[in-house]
Amino acid sequence: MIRSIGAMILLGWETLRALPHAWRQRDKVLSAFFDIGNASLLMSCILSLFIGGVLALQSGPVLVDRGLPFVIGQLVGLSMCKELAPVMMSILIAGRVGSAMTAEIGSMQVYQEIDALKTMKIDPVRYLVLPRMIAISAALPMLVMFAILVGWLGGGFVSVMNHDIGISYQSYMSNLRIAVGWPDLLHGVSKSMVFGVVIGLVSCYQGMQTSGGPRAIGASVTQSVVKSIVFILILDYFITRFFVYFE
Amino acid sequence: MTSSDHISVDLKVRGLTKSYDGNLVLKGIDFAAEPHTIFVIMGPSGSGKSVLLRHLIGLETPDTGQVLVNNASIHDPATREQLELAIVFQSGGLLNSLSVGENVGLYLKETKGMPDADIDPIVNDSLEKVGLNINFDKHKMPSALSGGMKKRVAIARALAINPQMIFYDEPTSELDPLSAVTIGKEIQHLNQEYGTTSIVVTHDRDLAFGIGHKIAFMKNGVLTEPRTPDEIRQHADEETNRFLNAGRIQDYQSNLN
Repeated sequence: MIRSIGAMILLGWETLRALPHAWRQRDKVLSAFFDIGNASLLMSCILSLFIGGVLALQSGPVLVDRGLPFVIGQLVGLSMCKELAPVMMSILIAGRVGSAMTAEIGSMQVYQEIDALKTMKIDPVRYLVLPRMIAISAALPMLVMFAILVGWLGGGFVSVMNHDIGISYQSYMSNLRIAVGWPDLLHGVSKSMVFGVVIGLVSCYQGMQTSGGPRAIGASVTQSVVKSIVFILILDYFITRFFVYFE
Repeated sequence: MTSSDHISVDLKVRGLTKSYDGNLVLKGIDFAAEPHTIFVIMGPSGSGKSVLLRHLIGLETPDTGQVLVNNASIHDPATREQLELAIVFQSGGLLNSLSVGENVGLYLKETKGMPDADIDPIVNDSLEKVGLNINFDKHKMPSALSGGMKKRVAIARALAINPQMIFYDEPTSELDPLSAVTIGKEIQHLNQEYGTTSIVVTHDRDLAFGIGHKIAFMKNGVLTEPRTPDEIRQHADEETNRFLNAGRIQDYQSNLN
C-alpha cells in the first residue's frame, strides 16, 4: 500500500512535468471531458436530487417539531455544499469514470499498446495520463457545482411538498441564501478538485500496473474503485479539518 | 523511404541475464546480428524468446549484460533518442481507439510533431507497401481487421518510422498458411529493398528457414550459436532436429498406431 502511494505520487509528479505538453493533447482532453460529462451528468442529477430530498425529509419534521423550520434551508444548503455533493459525486465518478479509465489503460497495457507507444518514443504519461487527469480535475468541480444546485432544489421540493414540513419555497431559499456563502462553495469545490486529482491518479496508476490477461483488468478496476473511495474519505477528513481551522 | 535515408545498424548482445522471482529466464545470452540481415530467434513456447525481445528493444532492463546497437547501449536514453527502432508485436499492438491511418501516422504526429498534411502521404505510402487499400482500409478501426491485416498495419506503422532496425514478435502466429507466407515475403521484401536489419522471433520453422540469414535456437533461456539455415540442416543436434521435424503427419499416425 505504501509503495503504491509512493508510485502514485511519482506518477502525479511526472504528470505535472508533462503539463507543458497539455496544449498538444487538447483534443484528447476535450474528448475525455465530454465523455465524463456524458457518462455522469444524468446520474449526478438523479443522485443529488434525491440526496437533497432525503436530507430535508429526515431533518425537516424533527426541526419543525422543535420550532426550527427556518433551519432546513441552512442544513440542506451547507450539507450539500460542503460535504454531500463533493463526496457523493466523487464516489460516483470513481465508480463510473475512474473504473472506465482503469479498464481502458489496463487493456492497453495487456494488449501491448503501451509497449507500442514506448517503442515509438511516445511517453504514456503525456499521451494517456495527462489528458485524463486534466479532464477529470476540471470536470469533477463542475459536476459538483451542478450537484449542489440540484440538491438544493431537491431539498426545497420536499420541504414544500411534504405535509410534515410544509414551509414555503421562498422561506427555504431565503434561509439557504443567508446561510451559504462563497467560502462554503469554495470549500466544496476545493474538495472536489483534490478528489478529481486523486481519482485520476489512482485510476491511471492501477491501469498502468495491470499485467497478465483480461482477468487482471477486472482485478485492477476493482482495486481502482476501492482505493479511490478510501482515499476520498480519508482526504475528506483532513481537508475538512483544514477548512475548519481557518473558519 | 529509401535505403539511403538511414544507415542500417548492427546489434550485439553480451552476457544478458534476467530472472523473475528468482527464476532465471535468460541465462547469459550472447549473439551479434549484422546490418542488413534478417536474424531469426527460434524456439519452443516458453523458452524466453519474447522476454529476450523485450530486452533487445529496451522495454526491460537486464540483471546483467548489455544490448548494444552500433556499440551503444540500448538502455542509454541518449542512444534510444538517436535510434529509429520499430517493433511489430504479436498482437499487432495497434491502438484500438485510433483508425488504421491514425495508427500508422502516430509516431510522425506525436514524436516528430509533423503536420497532418505531411503525414498523410507517408501513411498512404506505408499502407500501399503492405498491400492495403488507402481509400478503404485506412479509415477502418483495428477491431474491424482480421489477424493478418492487423499484422500488415503494424508493419506499415513500423515502415512509417523509417526504422534502422525492425523487430518482429511471432509475425505469423494465428495466421493461416497463405497469410503467413504473405507476411514472410513482406519481411523479406522490406529487408531486400531498404536493407533494414530485422530481428524475427518465431517458432514458425518455414518462416525461419524461408527468410532468415542467420538462425539461433532458444532453449530454456540459452541461445545456441547463430548459423545459416543450411548449416543448421546439416549439423542440427538431436533436440533441434526433434523441434524441426515435430508435427509431421507421421507423428500423428504413429500415435494412432
